[in-house]
Amino acid sequence: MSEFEVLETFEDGRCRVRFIAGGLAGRIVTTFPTSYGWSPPATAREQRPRRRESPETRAARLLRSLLSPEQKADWRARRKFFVPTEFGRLEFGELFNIGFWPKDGGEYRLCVVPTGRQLPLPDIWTNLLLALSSDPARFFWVANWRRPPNGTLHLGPVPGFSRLT
Amino acid sequence: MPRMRILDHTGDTVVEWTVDDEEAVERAAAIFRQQINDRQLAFSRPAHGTVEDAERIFTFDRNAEEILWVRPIQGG
Repeated sequence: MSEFEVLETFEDGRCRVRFIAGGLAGRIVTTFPTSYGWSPPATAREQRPRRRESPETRAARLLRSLLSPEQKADWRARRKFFVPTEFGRLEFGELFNIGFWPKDGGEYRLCVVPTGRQLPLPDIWTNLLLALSSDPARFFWVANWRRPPNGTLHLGPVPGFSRLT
Repeated sequence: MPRMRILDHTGDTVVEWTVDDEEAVERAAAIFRQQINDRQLAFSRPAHGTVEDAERIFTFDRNAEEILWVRPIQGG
């Protein structure tokens, strides 16, 4: 057990003490009464600025914010979600392999991507989702397509979208 | 605070302004014009709005809650 001597007493109840035995011998510290209202400084971890999120995390949060509750639940469960359009249903989630089920039947696999430099994967879906929402016909016009499971890849447009409207 | 989010390799770059700060508004408007010239696509949405609430815009709106910039699309 450590022993100490009081070197100085302050009016507010604090004391400066020096340990005279034990592992802390020679060390001078300030003691605080429990009534002082002092709390220890934040730890280094608490003081450290919040670590910058990864691009993937930021992009995933933005994507989720744009989805309906059903799409969000689907994305959470299997990293895919359906998107209804006036031409049929799309399934986003697999890059270069977007599922498309036209209203008049059949099934296609589409490949549509944003132009330019690389984006985090969730941003690609955000990009496609917004572009599709404003101009669905263009989406099917530019899409390269094939028939599943292993059909030949064709340049766009998808059959039935022969004219860019 | 109104803001623009420009999708890029970092996730997105955020540009914020306050509606009564003319200098900040003009800076944001200049970025908007540059993005339009670069053929990027702008969508305005209310805070927490889903894609259903997003609207394609072609001119800068200083009162927009959030403007999202995405790229044109192409066959892959």
